[in-house]
Amino acid sequence: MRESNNELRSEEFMDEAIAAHQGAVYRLALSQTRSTADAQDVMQDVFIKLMRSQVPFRDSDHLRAWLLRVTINQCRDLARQAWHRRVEVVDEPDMGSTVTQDEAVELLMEHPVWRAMDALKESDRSVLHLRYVEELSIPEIAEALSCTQVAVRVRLRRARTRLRQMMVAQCEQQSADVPSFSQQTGVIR
Amino acid sequence: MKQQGFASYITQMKQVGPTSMGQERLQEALQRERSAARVSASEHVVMHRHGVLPSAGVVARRAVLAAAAVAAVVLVAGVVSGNMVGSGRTGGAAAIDGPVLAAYAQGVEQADGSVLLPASFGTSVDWDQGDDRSYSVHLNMDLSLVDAEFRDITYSIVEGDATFRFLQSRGSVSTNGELTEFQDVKTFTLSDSSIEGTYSLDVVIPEDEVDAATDDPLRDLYVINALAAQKIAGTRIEIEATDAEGNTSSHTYEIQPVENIAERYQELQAQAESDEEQQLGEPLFTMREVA
Repeated sequence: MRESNNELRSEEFMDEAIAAHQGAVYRLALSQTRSTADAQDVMQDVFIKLMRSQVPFRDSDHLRAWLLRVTINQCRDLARQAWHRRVEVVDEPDMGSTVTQDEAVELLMEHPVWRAMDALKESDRSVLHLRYVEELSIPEIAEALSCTQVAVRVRLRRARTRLRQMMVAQCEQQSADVPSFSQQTGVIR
Repeated sequence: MKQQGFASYITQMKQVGPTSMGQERLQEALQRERSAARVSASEHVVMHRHGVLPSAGVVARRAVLAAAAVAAVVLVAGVVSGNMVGSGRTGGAAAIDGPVLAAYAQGVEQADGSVLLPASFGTSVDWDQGDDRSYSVHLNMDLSLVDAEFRDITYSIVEGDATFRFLQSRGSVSTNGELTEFQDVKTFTLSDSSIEGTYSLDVVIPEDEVDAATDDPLRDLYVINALAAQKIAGTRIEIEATDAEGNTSSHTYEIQPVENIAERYQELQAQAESDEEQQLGEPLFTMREVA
């Protein structure tokens, strides 16, 4: 729906915000949606929301927390509105060639940790990502996720445990797929 | 987990960023928004003056809201003065501070400070059963605002397991406009408060909980409604919006079912199944503004 007035954030503000934070927004969206196309869509939506928002940010950290929180909410909404997106895709104007996965993303998606994180809940992925990739402190993660610091610590502990379990299961699966020497040399009658 | 593997994953992830084409698309999207905002700024004034002929139901709701606006000045000032939760930066001495729910403004204040909401609030319930046999229950609740002059209205569930559903009324969509709909979300934003539609709070009830409460859930529908109301108990909704002066403020409300809500729903079900004329009956929910 359209704005009722044209009081959007200035281009200067938006350029600075994008330069400072688009990488973090995109990476978080990629971590949550597991898709470069969806991550691109989420990133666009987030910065459009920023442009239309009138929130007075105290400083760059406050802006970053706001952007990360909106990114997580957008990812969640995107996942739950798959039917809505199918309608929008039909109606979107042709923008030419779509965003292609670059080599960095291709390598990332082949990483065993990436595959293990596929099996985690989105809430577990988000705390792990914010803590280890974006290197946010516990208070900063709490602000970004709109929860208490205690909740962040609990979720981090749980997420690490689950990721560890997924990695172990992955290793065991890979071992099981390779036939043992005795099986390879066994005689089938 | 292998520290080596995780460390290399972190290193690779940090190297990822949007491609140059992706950055160009972002800038193009922002430019489209700016252009659209400039166009709609001139169109909005015309729409506001002439409007669109509403359906009877919409006229009735607007009349209720208009009447409630006067009552709201007294009620809201009495209930929330000095306890305003909002993080507003006031630009003027508005009689009604911030985005106040119309249902809250229309309610009756109780001795404990909560407000008994209108009987229509939460009356309409629909549900469906998923493949896992759990019940997805949608309780229709009017979450529109008293004042129609707000924009960027963000609804967020800050406490509780419920989710939102919002379906815009088709009659309120302008030609070539896009229908606004949200489902299963914890937060959503409407660009301005003139957007009309149906709001609901949705909860999921596992099949075994329904089975424990009734022998025949297909007939004892009021049981499902009451279970859903209990799951909504304590839900807190934060509403943040920007007024015409550009000031942003918020209110947070907590919803609670009345004590005998199962009986109230049972009465409504009996009424619906009989030939009696449908009447709303007693209120089903209370609401209080929380810090």
